[in-house]
Amino acid sequence: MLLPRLLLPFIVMVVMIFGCATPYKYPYTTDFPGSYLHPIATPPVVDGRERFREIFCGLLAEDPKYRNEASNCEDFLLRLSDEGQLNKNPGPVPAPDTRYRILVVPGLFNECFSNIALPFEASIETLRDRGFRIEQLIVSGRSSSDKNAAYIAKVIESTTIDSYEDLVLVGYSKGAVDILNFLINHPAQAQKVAAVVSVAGAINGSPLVKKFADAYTHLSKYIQLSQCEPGDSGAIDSLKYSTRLSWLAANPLPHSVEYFSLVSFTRRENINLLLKIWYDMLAVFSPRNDGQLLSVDQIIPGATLLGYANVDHWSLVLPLEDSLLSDTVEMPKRFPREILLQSILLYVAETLDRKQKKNETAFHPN
Amino acid sequence: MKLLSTRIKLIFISIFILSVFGCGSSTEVVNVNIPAHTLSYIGAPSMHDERMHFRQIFCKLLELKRESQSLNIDCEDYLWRLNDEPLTDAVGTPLPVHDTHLRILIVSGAFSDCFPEIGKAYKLGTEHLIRLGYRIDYVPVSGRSGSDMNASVIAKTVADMDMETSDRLLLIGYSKGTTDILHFLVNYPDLSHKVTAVLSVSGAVNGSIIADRYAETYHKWFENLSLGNCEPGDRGVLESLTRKEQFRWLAMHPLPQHVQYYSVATFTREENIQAALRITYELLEPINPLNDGQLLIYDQLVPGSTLMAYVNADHWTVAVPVDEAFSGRDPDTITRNKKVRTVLLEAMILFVVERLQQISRPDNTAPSQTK
Repeated sequence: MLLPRLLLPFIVMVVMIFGCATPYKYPYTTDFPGSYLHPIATPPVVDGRERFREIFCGLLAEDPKYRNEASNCEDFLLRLSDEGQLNKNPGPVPAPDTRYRILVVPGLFNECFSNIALPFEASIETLRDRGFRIEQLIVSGRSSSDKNAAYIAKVIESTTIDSYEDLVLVGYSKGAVDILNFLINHPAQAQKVAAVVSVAGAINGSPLVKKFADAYTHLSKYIQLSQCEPGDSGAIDSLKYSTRLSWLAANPLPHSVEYFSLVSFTRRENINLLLKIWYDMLAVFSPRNDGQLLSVDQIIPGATLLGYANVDHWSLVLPLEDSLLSDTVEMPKRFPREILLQSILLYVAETLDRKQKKNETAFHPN
Repeated sequence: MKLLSTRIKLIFISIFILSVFGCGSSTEVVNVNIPAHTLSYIGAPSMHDERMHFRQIFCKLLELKRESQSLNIDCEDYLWRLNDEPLTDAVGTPLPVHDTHLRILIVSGAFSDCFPEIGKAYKLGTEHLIRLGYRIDYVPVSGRSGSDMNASVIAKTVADMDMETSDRLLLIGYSKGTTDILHFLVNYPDLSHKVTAVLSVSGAVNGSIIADRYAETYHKWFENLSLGNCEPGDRGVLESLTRKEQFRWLAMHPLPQHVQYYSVATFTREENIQAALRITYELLEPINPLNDGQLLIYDQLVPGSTLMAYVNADHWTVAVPVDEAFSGRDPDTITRNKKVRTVLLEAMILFVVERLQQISRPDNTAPSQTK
């Protein structure tokens, strides 16, 4: 009899607290550390945010086009609670290294709307003028990652790469997933790859897909999406949570490749009008989302984390301000995509250079 | 014309998107065709997977006791098999031998001292192990205090322990007990060297979303109230359990590497959640149906630990007999839960004993075995 009597106030408390319960929604804050969801036993993520910030902010300050934006560096790259304070004596920005061949793989449906914008479209042109050898590798916007992986393999197979050149693959959104599948499915061609960069990569897929997948499968055969063929119509299925996490758990990524991840998320008011509905759906899980992906799902296990871009999923890489969708853009400032891409390439080159020197020292200790 | 055509297509796509996403939420279904996964801070150490071996130990022990204890439960029903767990070897290994040089301290969860009859984790299992020769004590933590305060209680208990050189110390944390233990290890680095291993069962490692939701309500209305037999302590219990506090703490405080960490997590289907946890289950379910009514599947693993198992039970059933006090469950299920908890504890101890035997002993003595 004593136990129920003691429990009574507790039960009253539980009923009072939980009686009209609604799911908890976390407020948006940067006062919380970076985090990522991953299959257990995958390698740890390395924190490269401080150095990446140095390069990004350094380039922003140097570029006359962004002279008025330089003071906004901290706005463009979010500083989360575990990053530490601003380095008062930042290291120098590395000199451009044009030794690398760079291929940029776009994401879901990008092929279908290539007339509106492609990832880093204008930035690629500018960087090419500065000597970077960089091209788009446009995969099927509606096909599965395995199908696109085969296409990436075919393109790399037919690309002449000199012995002194290193290949860097940059994947945006689902493009990052296509690249990872390529590395596993086509190991011979993957040997040519020195580094993979995920830019807002759908590494774990997206919780949105669960709801979207069935409807898309049923409707896809009836939909004519602008300029693209249906492909194998497996694009959405490739982004299911269970598919992606299972794939990552079953396929350890090759150690010969260096991995880098750039994550995006931003406040609701910065989210593109067309993405807001998705942002709200993802906010049930976390306000740290970019309107398509949660921030915890964008990091390749074992990668170096470059940073958190304060921008939505589209404005991160697509110059929508200059397109017919300009009215949908809510970002108050144009995101410096060219600086972002250049910073990524410089950071990657610096890391690969360091790795090469380390290997040389290991082989020739004297 | 081309521009107009693109606009029409965009409008069509927008309508399509709205038709797909525009409606309310749907009920999530438990899908175990997924690998073991966890939410980590940047730079967290990798985990190790030993589910297959723990399954061998647990299932063998269950079979040994099935007849004598009338245990009507299937091993495969009790331990989830996610899609990345290797298949168990056809040739099983023999059960490890008990080692009573393993000293054990158990730290129970939030509010545990408020209800001593049902709040102590593995009470019956502990009595069984004591009969086998183990020395096991409960740390008298405050059920309504924060983890730093309880860390000091653990520190005092560990400091006062009289250990022989051949003894090894295992700390078992259940739910918030795990959080308290992790804070102890970080806050008392000297004393942490007395600890060989930590076993977390349904540990609130990353904190709980439930706590984030209700910490303020508890603070406003309930922290000064009398709840059962317990004092309010420092009133920090829920604050300590919030993800915003605990995950942040974890990211800023790497755990000592000289300690071995082991994790057992729990989740179950809604129909197996006992009545008092249903509401909290439903709060977590839209985020992830793989939860135990208090914690999500990916918040329960200690960074760098060895994953032993996912137990198919709710947050309380895995460790404490709350369902004996009130749950609406049928008596057979309650009795079965009670018995299987004891088997689970013994299997966990055997697993840890075996692992620790692979590490050199402090004085190179042979393990002290029970009959």
